[in-house]
Amino acid sequence: MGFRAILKPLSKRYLPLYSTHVSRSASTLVLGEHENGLIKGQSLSAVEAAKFLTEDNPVSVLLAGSGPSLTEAAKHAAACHPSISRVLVADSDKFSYPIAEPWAKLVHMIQQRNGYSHIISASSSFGKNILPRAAALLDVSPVTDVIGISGSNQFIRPIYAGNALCTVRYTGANPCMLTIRSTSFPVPPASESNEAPITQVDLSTLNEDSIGKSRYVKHTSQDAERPDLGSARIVVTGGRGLKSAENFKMIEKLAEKLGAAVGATRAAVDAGFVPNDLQVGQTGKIVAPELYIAFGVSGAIQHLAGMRDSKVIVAVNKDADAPIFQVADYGLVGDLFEVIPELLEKIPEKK
Amino acid sequence: MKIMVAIKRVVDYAVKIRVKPDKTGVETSNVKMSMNPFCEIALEEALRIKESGLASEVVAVSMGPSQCVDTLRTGLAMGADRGIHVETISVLYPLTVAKILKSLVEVEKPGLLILGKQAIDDDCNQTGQMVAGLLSWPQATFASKVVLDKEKQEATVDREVDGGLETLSLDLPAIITTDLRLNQPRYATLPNIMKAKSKVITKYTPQELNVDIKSNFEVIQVTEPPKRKAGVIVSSVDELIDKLKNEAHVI
Repeated sequence: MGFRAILKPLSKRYLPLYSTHVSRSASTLVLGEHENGLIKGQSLSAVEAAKFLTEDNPVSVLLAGSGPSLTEAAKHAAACHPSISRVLVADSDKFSYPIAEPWAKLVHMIQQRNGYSHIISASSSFGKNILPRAAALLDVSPVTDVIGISGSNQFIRPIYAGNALCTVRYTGANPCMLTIRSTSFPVPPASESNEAPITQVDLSTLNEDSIGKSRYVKHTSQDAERPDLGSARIVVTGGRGLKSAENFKMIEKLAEKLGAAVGATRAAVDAGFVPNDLQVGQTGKIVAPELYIAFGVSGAIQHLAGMRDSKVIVAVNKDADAPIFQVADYGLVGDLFEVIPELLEKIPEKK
Repeated sequence: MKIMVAIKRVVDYAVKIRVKPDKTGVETSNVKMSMNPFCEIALEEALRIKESGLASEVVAVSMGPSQCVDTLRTGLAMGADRGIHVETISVLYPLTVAKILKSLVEVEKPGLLILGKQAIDDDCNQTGQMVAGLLSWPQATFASKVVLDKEKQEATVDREVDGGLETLSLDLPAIITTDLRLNQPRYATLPNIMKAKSKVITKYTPQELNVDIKSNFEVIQVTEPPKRKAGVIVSSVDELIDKLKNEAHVI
């Protein structure tokens, strides 16, 4: 949020500088991820990011998969965001699961046909798996985890677990490829509707040499009754201080009361308190909720990398010297086994 | 089967890095350097596969300045059989590293290439996917479990994806990139550190491998992230709830 405010005026200042190498017909392809007939919010953040590249920038969204859920997702994508000018649909059994080999070939093929200036995906496990492979096929260097865009080829990205920010200019050939951090490009609530045309991609020339060498076996998903960690308004996180999986249930109860998602540190995951997809940090999920409450979290740099952009950070820890207090807006030094029950009792019911 | 493992020398993960005052980068002189933690996991996995009798040799590869040899020695002390150092002084981006690895794969012909999922300095998370694409090999990124079937020449890999685990099966040769939970890397013992000194490290230059080093990036500046303004320590749960409700307006 802070970055976007800074970058908006910057982009105006920088744009004329680049007019020599920016092709007049900027156009962006967004690699869209979909689930249960809906395009994912993270992919829409990638569409938001495309707005910052150039002013006139038609955005095509590519969806691949098979069957009715793909058709539903395409309809959803075509209607849900005013910036989307076209939805490309690749319907084939090869795309029943999001496997990198056919997806990268697909992106390569479509880029050769349509010549986009930019290709973007969210920095999800999907985007990080596929986009670099596609980039190698196109012989270009991608930019990972972009958090700010100032013009069509200048980006800000965190390095060293978010302890430094690097502003980098892409000087290579088209397409310029990037994955974006979706929490840095929030999607405003849908106000306008859209009717983007849906086009089926001709797959007859899809080259087969690397496809079929890897096969999907299964997916083991975690129960997700609570809001999604990546997009929740409030996140309640527990660390090693919780001491056991049993005690972690207190965090879940508090999260329920607040309508929050549950997060965890690597220590809590490694100790087996919770599954690893709840991990927040450099190697887990990056979150930026309105309220982040950390219980029994020391605040290692790798963890801070995943939550330092939260709007309000609350830390409860019995060690007054814990580094987490250096980033917390409100700190409470105390025993979480006393604080959590008291919070559960005193926090007002959610309306 | 031979396994090749790519390892990177990076600023030690426990070091609190400092941005250079002239904003050209991060201070790396007189800073403790180590093997990237994800690379340690990659090497450990290769060693375990070899110890289970499914591989005959583990080759560790590193590229960069001459000090990378120290990182390779650490790898050899962990148990790698030999090392390859591609010496270069220029900054290498993942695409170049992937091209160098591709050339080395063509020389060494391994059945499996294992890398870490990302380096903790540039946090790119690209190299494994890129070399897989260049070689047209199947890829399994973010691996948390690897099972090899020698007869079928197949690897079954659990991957850490958003929302759970995904299992893929790959035809060999293949590329695997490792996530944190794959294994616990071993420490090098003193006798093994001594033994590692006599193991062979072959040197190459990018030119010998026919790889052009070009950069598609210009670093404009490196800055510190914006500091959060100092917070307050509250004394009770009541005060905390009051602040969250009436000052921050978040509950």
